[in-house]
Amino acid sequence: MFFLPRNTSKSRLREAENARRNRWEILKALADGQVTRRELIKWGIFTGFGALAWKHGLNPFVGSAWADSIPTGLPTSPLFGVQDFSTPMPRFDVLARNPNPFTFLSPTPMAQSNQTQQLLNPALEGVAPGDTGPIEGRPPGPIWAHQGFDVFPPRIAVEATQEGAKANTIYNPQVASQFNSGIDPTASIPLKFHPGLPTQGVNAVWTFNGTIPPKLVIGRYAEPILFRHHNKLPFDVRQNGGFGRHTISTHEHNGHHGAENDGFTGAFFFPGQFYDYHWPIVLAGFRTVNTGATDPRAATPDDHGGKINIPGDWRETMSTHWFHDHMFSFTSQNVYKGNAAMFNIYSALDRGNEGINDGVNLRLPSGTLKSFGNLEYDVNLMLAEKAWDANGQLAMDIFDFDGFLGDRMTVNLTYKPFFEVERRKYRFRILNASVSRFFKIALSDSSTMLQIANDGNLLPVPVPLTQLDEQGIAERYDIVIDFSRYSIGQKVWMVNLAEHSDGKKPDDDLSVAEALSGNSQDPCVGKFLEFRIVRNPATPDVSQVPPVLIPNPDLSAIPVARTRTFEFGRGAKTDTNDPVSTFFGPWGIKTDNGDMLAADFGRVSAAPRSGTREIWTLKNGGGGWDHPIHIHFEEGQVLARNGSLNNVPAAERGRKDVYRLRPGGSITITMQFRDWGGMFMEHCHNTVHEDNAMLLRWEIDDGGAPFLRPLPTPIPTPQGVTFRAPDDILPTALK
Amino acid sequence: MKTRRLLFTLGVRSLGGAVLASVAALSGFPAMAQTTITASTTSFTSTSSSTSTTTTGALVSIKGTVTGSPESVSFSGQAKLSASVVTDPDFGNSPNVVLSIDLSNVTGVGSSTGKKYVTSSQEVLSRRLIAADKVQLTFPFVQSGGSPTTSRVGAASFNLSYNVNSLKLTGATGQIASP
Repeated sequence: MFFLPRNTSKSRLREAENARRNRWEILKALADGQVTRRELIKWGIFTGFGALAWKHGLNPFVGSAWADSIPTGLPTSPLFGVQDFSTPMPRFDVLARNPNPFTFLSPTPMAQSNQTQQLLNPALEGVAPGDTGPIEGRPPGPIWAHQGFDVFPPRIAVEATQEGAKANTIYNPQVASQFNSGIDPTASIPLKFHPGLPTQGVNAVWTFNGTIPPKLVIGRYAEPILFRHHNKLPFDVRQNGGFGRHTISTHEHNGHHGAENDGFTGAFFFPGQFYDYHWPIVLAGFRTVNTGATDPRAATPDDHGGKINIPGDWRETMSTHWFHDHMFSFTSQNVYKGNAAMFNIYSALDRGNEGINDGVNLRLPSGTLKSFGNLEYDVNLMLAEKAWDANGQLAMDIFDFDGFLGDRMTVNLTYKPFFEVERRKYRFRILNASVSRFFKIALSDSSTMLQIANDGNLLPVPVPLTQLDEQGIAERYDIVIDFSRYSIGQKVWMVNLAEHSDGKKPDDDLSVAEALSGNSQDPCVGKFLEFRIVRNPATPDVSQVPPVLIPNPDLSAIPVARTRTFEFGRGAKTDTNDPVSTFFGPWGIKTDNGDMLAADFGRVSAAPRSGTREIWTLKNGGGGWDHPIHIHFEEGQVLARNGSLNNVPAAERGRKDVYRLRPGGSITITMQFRDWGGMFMEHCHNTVHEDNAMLLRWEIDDGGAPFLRPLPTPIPTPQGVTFRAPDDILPTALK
Repeated sequence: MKTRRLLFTLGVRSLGGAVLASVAALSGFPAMAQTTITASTTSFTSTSSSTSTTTTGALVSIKGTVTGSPESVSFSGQAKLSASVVTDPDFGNSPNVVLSIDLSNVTGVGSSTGKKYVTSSQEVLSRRLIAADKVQLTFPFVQSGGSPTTSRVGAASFNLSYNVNSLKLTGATGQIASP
């Protein structure tokens, strides 16, 4: 909770501000490592469940004599006179694609981690003057070597830093200015959430390359990418502006890659290091399905309007990913601070060229100028609500373990912007990049949107909707809006219908009229993005939304190797106490009806055998919260909600990687485990829940050498990564 | 004990339509010929919390006309509602409702052509539990066999009554109109 009602009294605001300052002191001590969460619990600052103690002057939720009816906490983020919909929404900033990573990058990428030593900065924790450590943070040795590096050598290098806020002087939206609401890409872009808001301090916001707009990687199947991520965050862990951790692990959500490239939560790297992520971009099943690459639908675009067949199952084609930090226990802070970007993957089916009519290309709204990856009418939207302090600097309450909500809506890190559109069809790839907030999106006139993809996977059929399903954190909904139904000069708005009063779940899904009424206490309900219909398209709209998109893979002939149950709830305990790999928090996961356990990335909770299919049931262990559960690696199909397929809406009947449980609910999915091995994760993507400590490790470890069974746990230090045996292996993990 | 309750719940659920009964007969709600409330079930599916879910189904006869171009469409049929009231013993907050509204059995007839219009709308909403809840939503519809790109929009509204003690949906009425 991070906002108070508009009619809050001045005295209540002062009280809340005092509470905020008091908490800030504790927060700083916690962030600086001067105290631990366990100590805070022992002192009564946190409750046994991990929530901030119900103390007046500390917890802004504590009702004072006059404040029993006030549901929320802190002063609203000031707007400095900024008006809604007064600045254009910037398109994503496309990261450069550099051919031949082996000559472009220095040092040259290697299959195994580059352990060349460098002198370490003594400001790093645990580093003495003169200490050395490896230049690459990827764990060393054969287990963490890039799988398939020789078969799928990287052909494109994408290089980015993680660093503090600075102005962007090399913005590349990859569209002409008229497709970017008139934004001049040559103008320097200060890191502000709106031109009228203050510039963010260097340690208030940490983004890719230190700049906004958010970054976009363009990829295509069978063109492996080497993503080199440099950590240029402060060496001193205390230099974080109050929240955020300077160690990072970059998760390509939901890449079908080897685990060494997945951004495992325990494979984090330090300032001064880089990590090479190898994204081979292959169709799942490439080792066993369509191995001769004869199916014309399993293909990737070439540079001349044609396509090249590739192995694998065309029904596993993916389209809209994102990548973000996955630092153990600090994901929420780091993602909120700016570690979030998107990744569009193009294929023969989803070409990003609406003009090519070859019988395979679905011709979804995009553009025609390039062979693939046209962005003119294919727009990434990153939704994330933020909060800032009296000085306009990004702020976060890390003490509310139930979830964090901001009070200011941003799209592409811009406060309530407008976007100019033509009278034609557009595709929007909508990412919920919030920490704990769910959205439910409609248009202000309740007109129809066509949902074409869920979690970046094209659905079997497009689904017409006047309001999208609730969209949990990390879910991606691709939709098509046809603006030809409007006249030039008209406006229509995207509206959020999901009302929160805390970060545990949405309380109420409002009607459009209710959301537009302005009566909601939640400042992020209502209009958040204005579409301005500004002109007719220069050329006719030849894009299509065909009646059939991508059918689901038929798994019925693949035997189910086993079933597992995971219950997500509170009251977790720990059975391990490793100072690096364990984390205590109120949240936990119960595996196969065992104990409810807090996170330990040294614990193996499940270990499906390579080449098998399993059925997993994910249960919500409570009624007062929802959890969007993310399972890494390969997409699943939803078999049932609360035991029945009838409860699964049409827009959820594709492939997914994030599964909202709903209060008291359950969801049953099926997944395959193939192609790659290593250790992956399953966790709540309400990243506050994830960090406190609703996360588990599972692994595919019997795919042959170099994999051991079970895999050793990486323990990163600036001097290098060491390995140790798993702390714990649950009794049902390996069965 | 929990297992026995769960099995009972599943057993009741599996009976499906066979356990339908009239509103007046089962819930004591004032008789409304157009609404049928199914038997409610309460389940305890969590092993880590005493949270319970009380699910009540309802079949609501619904009708109304959506005006607009190229023709007005008169809708009628049965909306299928499922209200799952979920308790929150962990935080002590009021129960909340996961409300499912399925309009796929509601069809329309064009006023001038007599052609059939259909919708596949299946909406799931989070709602606070209150004794009388008015739910408004919109839904896309197309001429039968038509492309979803040609969708038009209608509005449905429901007046729902809950017994906030038993956590059951006790009554429901609905209508369709232009948005």
